Amino acid sequence: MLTVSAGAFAQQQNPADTVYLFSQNARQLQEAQQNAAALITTQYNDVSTLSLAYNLQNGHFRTSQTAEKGREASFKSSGISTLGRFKVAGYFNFVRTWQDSLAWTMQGYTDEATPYYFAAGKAGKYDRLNYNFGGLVSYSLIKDKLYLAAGVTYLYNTASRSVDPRPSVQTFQLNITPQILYKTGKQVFGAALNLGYGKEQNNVAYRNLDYAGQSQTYADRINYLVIGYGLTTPYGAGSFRRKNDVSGFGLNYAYNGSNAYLSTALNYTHNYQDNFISLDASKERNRYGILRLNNYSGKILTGVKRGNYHHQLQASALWQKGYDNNYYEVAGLSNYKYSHQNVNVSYSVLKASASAQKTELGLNFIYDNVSKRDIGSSISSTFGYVQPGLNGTIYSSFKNNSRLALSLSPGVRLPVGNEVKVPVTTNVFANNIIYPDLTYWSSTAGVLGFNARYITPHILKNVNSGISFNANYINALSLGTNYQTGKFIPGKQRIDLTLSFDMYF
Amino acid sequence: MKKTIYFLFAMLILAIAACKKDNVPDTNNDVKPVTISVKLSYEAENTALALSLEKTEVKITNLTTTQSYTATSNTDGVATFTAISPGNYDVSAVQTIAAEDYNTKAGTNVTDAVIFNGTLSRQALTQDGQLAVTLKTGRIGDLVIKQIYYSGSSAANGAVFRDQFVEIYNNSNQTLYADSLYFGQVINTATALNKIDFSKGFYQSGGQYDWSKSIGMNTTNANTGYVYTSALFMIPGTGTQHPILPGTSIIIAATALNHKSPYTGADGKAISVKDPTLTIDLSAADFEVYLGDQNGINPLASDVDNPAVPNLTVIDRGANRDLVLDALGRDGLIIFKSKVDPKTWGKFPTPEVTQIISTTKTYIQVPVNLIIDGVGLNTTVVANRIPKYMVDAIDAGETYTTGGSYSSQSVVRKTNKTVSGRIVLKDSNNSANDFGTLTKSDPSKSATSFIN
Repeated sequence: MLTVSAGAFAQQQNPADTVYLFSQNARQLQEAQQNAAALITTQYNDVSTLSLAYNLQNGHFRTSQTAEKGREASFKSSGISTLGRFKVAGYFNFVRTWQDSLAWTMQGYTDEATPYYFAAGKAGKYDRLNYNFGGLVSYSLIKDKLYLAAGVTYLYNTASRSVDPRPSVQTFQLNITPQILYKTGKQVFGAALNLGYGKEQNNVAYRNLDYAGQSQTYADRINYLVIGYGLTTPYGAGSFRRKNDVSGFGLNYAYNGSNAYLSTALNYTHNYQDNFISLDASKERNRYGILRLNNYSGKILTGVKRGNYHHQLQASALWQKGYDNNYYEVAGLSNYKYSHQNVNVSYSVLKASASAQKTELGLNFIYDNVSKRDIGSSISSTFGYVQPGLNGTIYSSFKNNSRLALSLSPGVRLPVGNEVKVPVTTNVFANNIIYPDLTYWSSTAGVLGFNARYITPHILKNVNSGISFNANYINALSLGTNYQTGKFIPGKQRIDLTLSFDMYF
Repeated sequence: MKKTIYFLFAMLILAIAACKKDNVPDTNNDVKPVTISVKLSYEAENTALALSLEKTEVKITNLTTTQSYTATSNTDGVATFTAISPGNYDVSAVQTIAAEDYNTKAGTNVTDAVIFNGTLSRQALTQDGQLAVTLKTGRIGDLVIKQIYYSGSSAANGAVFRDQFVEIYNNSNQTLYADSLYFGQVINTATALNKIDFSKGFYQSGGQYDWSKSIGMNTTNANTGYVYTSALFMIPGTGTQHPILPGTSIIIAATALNHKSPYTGADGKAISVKDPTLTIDLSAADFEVYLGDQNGINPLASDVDNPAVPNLTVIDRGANRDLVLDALGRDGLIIFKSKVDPKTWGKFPTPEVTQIISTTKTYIQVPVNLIIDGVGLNTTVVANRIPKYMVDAIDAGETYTTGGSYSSQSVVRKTNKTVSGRIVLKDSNNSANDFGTLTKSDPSKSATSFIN
């Protein structure tokens, strides 16, 4: 779907470079690719992009379960296409990741909420492959009145490393979103079901039998099964499986007028994550634990044009609340509690004058708070921050039809409400994960983002293409509370760089 | 407008229909501290003696966190634990009856205190409740298993399992003879408890094999009255050829060689270790197990006969190519004497066998009442623990090295007391209490091979 979308319309005149150059347009396009009501009302009918990117991450200012270094090579494509009564938005991403010095988590696809995973203190290199693709299709059942739509997302992720203990994790997730939408005038109302199914296989093996013995002589080689937040047990070589069922519903709305637009979506999903092992020589299984996670999310994108000034406001909110039923230790009683709140607001105003140079200024604000609690261990933590920031962008057009956008986004991350409660001094999980994370999240940090996008018709014939460079730098202005209980203590800074070659159709 | 309302109503119905009930019943009951009472009683044959249940020491140990709680029982034999964290626990109880008191009630003439043990394995303590523990006494042997070096040494730099040995000690004040002493490995469920499919029907509630379900089983107390050996050997002798003086011991080695030095294997190739400090010298062992001359065997290259060390008589080598103790600890060892040739005893397959064919393995049924001493082992890693290997009458507990497999560590029976220079080892019929870990196995029989 995506490949057709990118190739078949390569020869048409379209404002793809404009769409992807200007941030406000890019957000509208992204909204149309995720919200079926916005897809129906969007003015973008045939645009697509391909991107080859290389990413580097490095720095000691990180959480205990983040790699010290990482590299990524990725191929990404996305676009929108209109075929008769069908309007299609889709994407395909392939990401190859190499990480170094990652410890205390052997998850395949990072899941912040789950309390069930393998972990070991030995840091090592990880190899990951991630394929994910999806799409949103709308069909005009009754022209300009009734629409059917369906969204689908597919993810396959593998992760492994070659130092003991050696994880090998395969994750699969498929989500579908059947929808029905009603259009009246310039407004579209939609309702959707959210359904999903996923599986994961977690295996850990040892090559060195000395390490497999789980002796304190090689403490960092002990493979722990984490079954809570602070509740762990040495496990050795072994495996467990996971099934992930998703259910829920959503409502979406879009309006697109001549000078204003609005799209919004509300979603509720319930994740039912079942973690278990297969019994020996049997088709039966032994359940370790269930995580039940309720996700409530809302998103709004709205804009208005007043003369040469284009205002845009984007806001999203996420509230997650979860708990487990721990069968491994407490016969299905609930031991683990999780909650996460995130609010992200950004406002920008573009001075869209006729000159070759346009400027855009913006404000943004992030609030994030994660709380976890292990009742049996009496361990809990709350990590939160607010991050206000500014954004300034200059868009330049050149006589040879090339374009350039330069953005600078300074901000500051301020800790809010960070605390931990750990009643004992000997808890391995607390000493190596919770306390270093407290240091990280309770730090005040300066954040600086830089982005440059250059698009020109002169690299490839008949195709707009270009180069993008993105840099994010974070520096701890003052390090947070430090109990120095484990080997790892977050450092001062971290950088994230991405260079990509992009094509626009 | 009406159409819009109808459409919104339809969407609302759709949204409600999307709410899916979980198939699993809602068990959103939070973990809470629990109160557990342990009710003690003596086994039937000792009930009439009216022995006291008061002040029995009861310990419960959380298998995941290893946190333990202790309490002593009241006059009714009830020990209470309040506000403990819910989880999976092992329970053990020990009651010591003074010799004088026991003699008065039992009409015996023992000189040492009589120890009663009771255990319950892997109890899920998640709500207030009561457990019942039966106190039993086992045979306190004069010969005891003192040291078991099952873990072996580093697979990369040591001797792996080649340097395993067992030390048998004379715990009495009389000279005893090793002649015709049987030494065997017991077989039971070796699958981790959390991976056992109990629905298969051939397991006991604790996960051990239910031998009553074995094809051809003809005894009524197949599970409590007998153990089943995967390998059985006998120390040769005419009766008085191999004395064990009081407070001394014998070493049975898998291969009685100096494993620190290179040697030539049975296949003509050199066998050596990268780090000799990790292994031991067994060339002075009293006996060894040599299977290289057994009919039909595919000999293990490392099983080399030391002509200076007497070989054990092979009663049943099982599937072994040498004496190989399970390095993970999934094993149990027994010693016994019998006037009846064990080869005449019944042999039975494990209970999951549905049909006996020519290659079906069968195991010798050994009466518990003949066993002088037995020790049950288990894995160091809690998540991989197998069901308790040994019946309570032989060993009320189980033991394991703290370092796990290939750690060069051994389990050693603790010293109880010293009488006129003779060390008396602890023997309460509960290896969980009687044994500790020696950081480096020690076949020297010297003071360094004892622990307090």
